[in-house]
Amino acid sequence: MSETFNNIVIDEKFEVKHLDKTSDDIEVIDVSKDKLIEFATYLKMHINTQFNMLLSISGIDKADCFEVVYNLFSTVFNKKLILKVRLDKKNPNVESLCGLYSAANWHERETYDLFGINFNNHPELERILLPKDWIGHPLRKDYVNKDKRLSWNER
Amino acid sequence: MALESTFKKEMIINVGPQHPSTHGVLRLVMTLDGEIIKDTKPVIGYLHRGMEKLAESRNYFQYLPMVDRIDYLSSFFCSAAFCYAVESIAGIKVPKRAEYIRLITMEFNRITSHLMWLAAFLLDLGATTPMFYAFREREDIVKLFEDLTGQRMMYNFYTFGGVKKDLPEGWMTKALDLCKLMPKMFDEYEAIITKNPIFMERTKGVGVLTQKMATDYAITGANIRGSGIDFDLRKTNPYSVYDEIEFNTHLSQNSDSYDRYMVRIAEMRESVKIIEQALKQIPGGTPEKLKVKSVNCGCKNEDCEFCGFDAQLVGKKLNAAVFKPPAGEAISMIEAPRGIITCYVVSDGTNKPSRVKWRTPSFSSVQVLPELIKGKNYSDLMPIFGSLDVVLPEVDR
Amino acid sequence: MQIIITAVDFIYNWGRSNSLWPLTYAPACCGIEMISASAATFDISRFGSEVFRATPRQADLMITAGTITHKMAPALIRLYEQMPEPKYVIAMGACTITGGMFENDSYSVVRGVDRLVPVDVYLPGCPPRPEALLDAIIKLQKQIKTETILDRQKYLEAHKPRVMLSDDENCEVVLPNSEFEVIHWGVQKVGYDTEALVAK
Repeated sequence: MSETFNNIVIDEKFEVKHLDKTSDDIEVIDVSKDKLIEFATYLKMHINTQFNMLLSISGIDKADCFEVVYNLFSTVFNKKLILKVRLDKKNPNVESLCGLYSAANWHERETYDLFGINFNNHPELERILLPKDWIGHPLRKDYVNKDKRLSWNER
Repeated sequence: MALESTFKKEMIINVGPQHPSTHGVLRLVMTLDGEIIKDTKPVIGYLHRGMEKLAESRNYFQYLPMVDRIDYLSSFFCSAAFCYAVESIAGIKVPKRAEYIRLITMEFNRITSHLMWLAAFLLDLGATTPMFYAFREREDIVKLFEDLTGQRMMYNFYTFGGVKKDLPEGWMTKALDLCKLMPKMFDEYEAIITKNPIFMERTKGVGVLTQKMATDYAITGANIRGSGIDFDLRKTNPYSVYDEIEFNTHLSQNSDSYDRYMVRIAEMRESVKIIEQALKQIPGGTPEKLKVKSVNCGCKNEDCEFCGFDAQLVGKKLNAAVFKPPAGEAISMIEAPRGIITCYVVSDGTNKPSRVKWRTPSFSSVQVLPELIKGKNYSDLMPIFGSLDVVLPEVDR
Repeated sequence: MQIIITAVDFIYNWGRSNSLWPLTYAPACCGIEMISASAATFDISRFGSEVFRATPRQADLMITAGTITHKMAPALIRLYEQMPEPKYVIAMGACTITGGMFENDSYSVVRGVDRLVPVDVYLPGCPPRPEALLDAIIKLQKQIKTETILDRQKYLEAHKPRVMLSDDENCEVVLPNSEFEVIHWGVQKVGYDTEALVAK
């Protein structure tokens, strides 16, 4: 079954489905993690969509899964779009978008740093905001600081 | 012989976290071949305070003072981004008078942020006089903010549904006087900087940011307008009452550091015009007039200019302890002095946000820096880095 | 001994206190108020801080104006160690006194810069006004005028640091000093030679 987004029919081979819009009427599309790169390439290159800016990549820690949220913008048509990918908690990994958008590089490093989500085929996936030898991924809901070396910093 | 081989070796130099020109704590690990930069690796995270995690253990009202500290030079914009996101989740309407006050304070804040940028940019290039000139103006505007909010820097003035207090008496006259004075002051800066031969030599043709690179790296704000792409959120997706005010956006075609400087100076002049229009168009007029007329009128009509909904300051009085917006998510985008700030708020029906994600423009600007300075002279680093207008707490949150 | 050197002390302290040259160290928001204090409206150079030195080797006052995180802590300690004696530290702003608004549950903020370096004057505020910074500098000048050159060693011994830099170059955080065991609001010395300290 193919979906319509902004009067453009999306082929069913991309396996996308619409979710509820955000509270300020931005479309949210749920993509499965295998079809992410194809769909993102389609969105960037197709003459009627032309999403040429990737504004941000963020992770969300929900009760049963991790979600990676991509915020796309088109300067040509002035349109916003959100893509969501669901990952399971045991082994979260997804393809990296560094080949398509260069802005994805540091955003994916930050998501790896704070959540522990692995991005396959990323040029240099290492910690960016925290010290290199930090233990744990802070923005997960079950994070507790267990580093004994930092005991001098207790309240 | 022994001496010749040392000429071929590359040096690895650390422009360390403490450096007067890095606008905060940024570390650049540079590989130099003599004076030519071969490669740069920026290391950030020296000011990572965990703003996003702190939102999850505080309720919405308790998080508002912390939002100001994400970018302290444009704290009204960060506050506005968070307020617009939560207001669209909770469905709260903002009265027009509050929107006008928000617009006036945001545009004044844009001027102070650009003045600080001017001072820092020229101080890095070696000129110390513009810093004193810029701070003289900045002190005048900051005095206005102190009259209004009580604080010089991190104001904590916006709340969900409007603003916290009305303008004090006499504020609008002072603001209009300042707006008449400022274009003359901008002429003073331009007289010593714009046609200065040393400044032009150092910044013309340096740091060319092509249009393709700009959209690829998601550069926004004055940086992309200096490259010729007309992308200003105040015109394309107007959020506050920007659609009722006439102003122009300024573009430049050469995409080098000199053009980004010219775009920002033009933006400062444009902001002065916006403030003058807004001060004349504000519903209800001066606070003294509003008080007198609303007491005399007393009609309680919705459309009345002096006692209707639009003359109030807050859309809906909220109780901080039990404010629970419905489950949902929203992204708000604001045109800040450095670029586009987006705030992504996910709410799950309780009184604490479930996830707050900030996308700040300086993050992308630091990411594009290695591309811009590859192969250039070491002395070109400061004109390029200064013209990108980076503030480090925005990068690290 | 002290009567003999009072005149020397007086001149020495007068010279030092009236020309404190700060280090340009402005990580975060308080740095802007520090820069405002050095601009034309709240002139700091009338108190002797004529120039802000960029390198710690030539500075004698460090105004830590901004939040310190775990990643920045080794750099701060190195900067302090690179400054030549006699050196002073003003902890400016709430974030450097106790951690400020991030003290409650931030995972990466150092709760007070006095866990890393010895502090002379604490300056509260978020951010403190530039006039408050000038007040802190005046207080520091008054303190310097009461010092004698004999007591500097005792002052340094009283401020033993609780942390140390690690030798491993892959370790980017600061380690606890094994001589001390931090127990809540006090410091209990374990294995520290108190007789040798008193005899000095």
